[in-house]
Amino acid sequence: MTPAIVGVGQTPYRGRHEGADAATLMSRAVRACLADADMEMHAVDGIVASLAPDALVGAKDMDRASVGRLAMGKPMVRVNTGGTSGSAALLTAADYVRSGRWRVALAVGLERMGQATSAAGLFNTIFDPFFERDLPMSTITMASLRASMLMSRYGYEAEHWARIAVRNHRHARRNSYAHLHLDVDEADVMASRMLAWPIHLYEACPSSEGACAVLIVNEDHVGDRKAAWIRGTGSVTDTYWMGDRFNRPEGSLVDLPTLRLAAEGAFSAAGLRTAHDVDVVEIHAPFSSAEAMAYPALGLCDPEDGPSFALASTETDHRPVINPSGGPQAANPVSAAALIRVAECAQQVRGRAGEHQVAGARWALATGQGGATQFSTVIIVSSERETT
Amino acid sequence: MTRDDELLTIGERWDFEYRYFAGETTSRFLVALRDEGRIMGTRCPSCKRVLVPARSFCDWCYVDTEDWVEVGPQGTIETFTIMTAPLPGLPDPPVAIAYVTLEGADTAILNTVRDLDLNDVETAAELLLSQPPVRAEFVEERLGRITDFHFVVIDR
Amino acid sequence: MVTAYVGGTAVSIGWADQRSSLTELIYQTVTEALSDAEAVIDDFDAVVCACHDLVDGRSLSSMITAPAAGAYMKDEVRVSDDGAVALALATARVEAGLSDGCLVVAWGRASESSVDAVSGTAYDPFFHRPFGITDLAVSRMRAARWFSERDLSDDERRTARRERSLRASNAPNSAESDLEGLWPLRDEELPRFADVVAALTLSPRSSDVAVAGVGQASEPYRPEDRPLLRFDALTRAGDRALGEAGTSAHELSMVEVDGMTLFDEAIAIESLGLAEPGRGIGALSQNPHWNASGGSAAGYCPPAMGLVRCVSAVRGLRDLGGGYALGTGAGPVSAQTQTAVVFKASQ
Repeated sequence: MTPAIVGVGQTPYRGRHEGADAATLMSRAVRACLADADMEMHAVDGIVASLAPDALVGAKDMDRASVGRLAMGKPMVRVNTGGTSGSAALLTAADYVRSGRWRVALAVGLERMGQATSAAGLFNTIFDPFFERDLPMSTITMASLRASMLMSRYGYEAEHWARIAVRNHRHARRNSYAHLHLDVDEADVMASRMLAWPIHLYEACPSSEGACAVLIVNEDHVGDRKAAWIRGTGSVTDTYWMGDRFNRPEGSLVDLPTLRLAAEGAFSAAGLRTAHDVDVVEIHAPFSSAEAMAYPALGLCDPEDGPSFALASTETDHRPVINPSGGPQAANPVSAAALIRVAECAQQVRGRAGEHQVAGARWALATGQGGATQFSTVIIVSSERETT
Repeated sequence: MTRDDELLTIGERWDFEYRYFAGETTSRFLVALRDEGRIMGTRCPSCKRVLVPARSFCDWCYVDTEDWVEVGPQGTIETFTIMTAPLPGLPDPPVAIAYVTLEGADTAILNTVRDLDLNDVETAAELLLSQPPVRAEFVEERLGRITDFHFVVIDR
Repeated sequence: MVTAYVGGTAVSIGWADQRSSLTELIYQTVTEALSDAEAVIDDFDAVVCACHDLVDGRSLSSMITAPAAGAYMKDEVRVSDDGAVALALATARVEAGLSDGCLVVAWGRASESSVDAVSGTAYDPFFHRPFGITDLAVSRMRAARWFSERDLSDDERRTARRERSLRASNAPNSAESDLEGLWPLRDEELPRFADVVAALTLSPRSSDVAVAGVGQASEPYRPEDRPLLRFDALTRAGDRALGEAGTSAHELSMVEVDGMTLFDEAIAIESLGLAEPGRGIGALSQNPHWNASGGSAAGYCPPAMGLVRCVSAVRGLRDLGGGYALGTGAGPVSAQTQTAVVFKASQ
C-alpha cells in the first residue's frame, strides 16, 4: 500500500510573526493544507506534530495548545528529533497510515523561535554537559568543523560555499514563502561577516518562524486528488560522538554514512539508483557546506568530484534542480524545515510549486538532517503510484 | 475606549537547575585529568576501539568496555574551526577548536587550540588546515573539567 | 496484517545513583530487556524512544541518549511524548511490515531536574503560569473537586493509601524522593518522583504476548475546558483498544493505569468503565490486579510512565499465564492526551 501526499499548506516564513499566536499560525497552515487536499478535518484520523527544542519557543509541548485547538479529540503525537523533526513527523504519520491504523494523517511543523530572545545560547545545551559545553560548540561551529574538513579533504574553497549560497538565494527569490529574498552575488557572500571559519553570514540560515502542514492518505483515499506518492523512505541514526566518526570504515564525519544508508533504502524501494534519477532535490542543510556533504551520499558524484559538482549544480539549467525553493538558507523555521523540504518536493511533482515550479518534474527527493548530522532521513515522492 | 490594535507581549525567564550525574566512568576520566594530568580511554572488547573520552559502553557494539588505556599526549588534528562571532554563554572570540585523535586512541576528542596568532584568522586557518601535529597541554589549576587541558601545535 | 508481539521487558526505578549517568541507566535497562527477550542488539532494526528535553536538561536529548538506547545505525525516532505513545508507534511500524524488531524505550530522571516545575511551562503564559500551575497543581485541583462533589470516607481513603504503599513496597528498586504533603493530598497519595527507565522489545515473531489493541485520543488544551473528574480521552482510547482486541473492560485480567496521584488513577479506572463515578478509589484498593505495581507510588517520572504501566501490565499477564491486560499512558498538560494498549496472552 503506497501512501500519498494530497495536501500542502504553508505560512510565509518570517523572522517574527507579530500579531499571530502559535495556534493561529498552525491553523493557517492546516486550513490551507486541507483546502489544497479538498478534505475536511473530521476525516483526519490523527495528527503528528513536529516541534524541536522547547526552549527555543519558550513553551513546553507547544503543539498541545496549538494543535489541541484543531484536533477535536483526535490522537496527537509529538515528534522531536531536532532538525529532522519535520521529516520524522511525516514518516511517523506515514507509519500509522501504512499500518492501517489511520487512513488520513496530518503532519504539521510549527516554529516560533522569534519568541526566544537568546536563542543562540540555547543551542550550546544540545551538547554533552561534561565534554563539550565548556567549549565553543554551537550549531555554527559544528558546521564549520565540517566545512574546514571538506576543504582539507576534498579541495572545496571559499568560492564554492559562496556559489552554492548565491544559487539558493536566486531560487528563493521565486518562492513567495521564503523568509529571505536576497539579491547577492559571490563577492557579497564572501564579504559578509564571518561567523566561524570558514562560514560567512550569507552562507548560513536565518532564524525563521512559520508553519507547514502536509496531509498523507492511504491509496484508497486519494480519489481524483493530485497526489505525490511516497515511493521510498529511509531514516538512520548515527552515534552522538563526532570524534567517533572520523576514522571508521562506514565513512568519515563529512561522508554522512547515515544519509547514504537512508538514501539507499529509499532508492531501492522507489526503484531508482541515485539522485540523478530525480528531477528535484531539496536538501535540508542550513549552510552551503552542509549541502555539499549530501552530494556524494545521494550518489550525485564521487566525494573527490564534489567541488566540480557543486559548481555545475549552480548553473541555471542543471538537472536535477537543487533547492528550487531556496532551501534552509532562505528560510529555516527549525521545527518545520525538514517537513518543508518534503512539502516542496510534493508540490513539484503535483505541479503546484507556482513561480518556482520545475517544468515536468515527476520525481523529487527530500533530505532531512538532525543533531550534528546525526539523524538522516530521505523521502522520495513521485507523480506516479508505481513504475510501469 | 479600548484600542483594538494593541499587541501585548509577556516576558518570562526560564531558570531551571539541572545536575547531571557523570557516573563512575566519566568521573574517573575527569579525575584522571585533574589529579594525574592523564587522558584516558577505554577499549571495546568487541570492535577493539579505544574510545576517548573513556566510556563505560561501546554504542556501536552495545557491550561494556573493559581495559583503561592512557592516550596521547601527541595527536593529529582531524578537523578544526575558528569561532569569530560571539555567542552568548561561550568564551569570547576568536577561539580555535579542533577534534584531535591522540596517540593510542581510535576516536577524536574536542578541545581548544591555544598559542595561535588568531589576529590573522586566515593564516591561522591555513596552518591548521595543514594538520600539523599537536600535543595536549595541561593547565596549572585543574578542576576535573574538560578545560583542564587544551591543545598546542608542536613546534617543528 | 502483521501482529506485533512483546519479547522482553525491563524497568529500572531508582534515585540519584551517582555511579551511573543517564545514558548508562538507559543502556543498562535496554540490555536487561534484551536479555529478558533472549535477543541481541543485532536482532533489531528500529528504536522508538520517549523522553523530554526539558526533563533531561539537554536541548536535543535524543542526540546523546538514543544511541544509549541502541539506536546506532538503526531507524530510530524520538517522540517527545508519553512512553505508551512510543509503544503505539512501534506497534504501527511492526504491523506495517516496516520493522523486524523494534526496541521501545522511555525514561525520565527526576533526580537530575525539577520535573514538576518543568511541567508548568506547558501551560498558558498569560492565564496559567503567573499562578504557578503545574501538572501537580492540576492534579491537586482534581482531588479537591473530588472532595467537594463526592463522598470519601476516612476509612476508604486510609485503606487505599495503605494498599497503595503495600503494593509499591514490592517495587524492585527503592525510590527515596519524597514530596511534602500538598493539600488536599497526603504523602502516599502523591507520586514518588524517581529515576525511571523502561524498555520493551517488539517484533513480528510470535511470542506469548501480543499487542491486541491500541487507542489514542486527546482533549482540549486548557484544563478548565475539560471535566475535572473524567478523562474523556481515556474513555475513547480505551474503547478503541478494547474494541480492536475484541474484548471488554470487565474481561481484563490485569489493568495498569497511569495517573499522577491516587485520585488521577481512580478517575482513570472510572473513565475506562471499570468502576462507577465516585467508586474508583475503593475499586483500586479492592482489586489486587488493578495497579498491582503500586502505580505512581512505585516511582514516577514523566514521560516514561505509560511504558512503565504497559510493562507492568505485560509482566502481570505473564504471571497469570493467560487473558487480556490493559496499560495506559497519560500525556503532558495534565493528561490532555491518553493512550491505551491491550495485550493478549496465549498459553
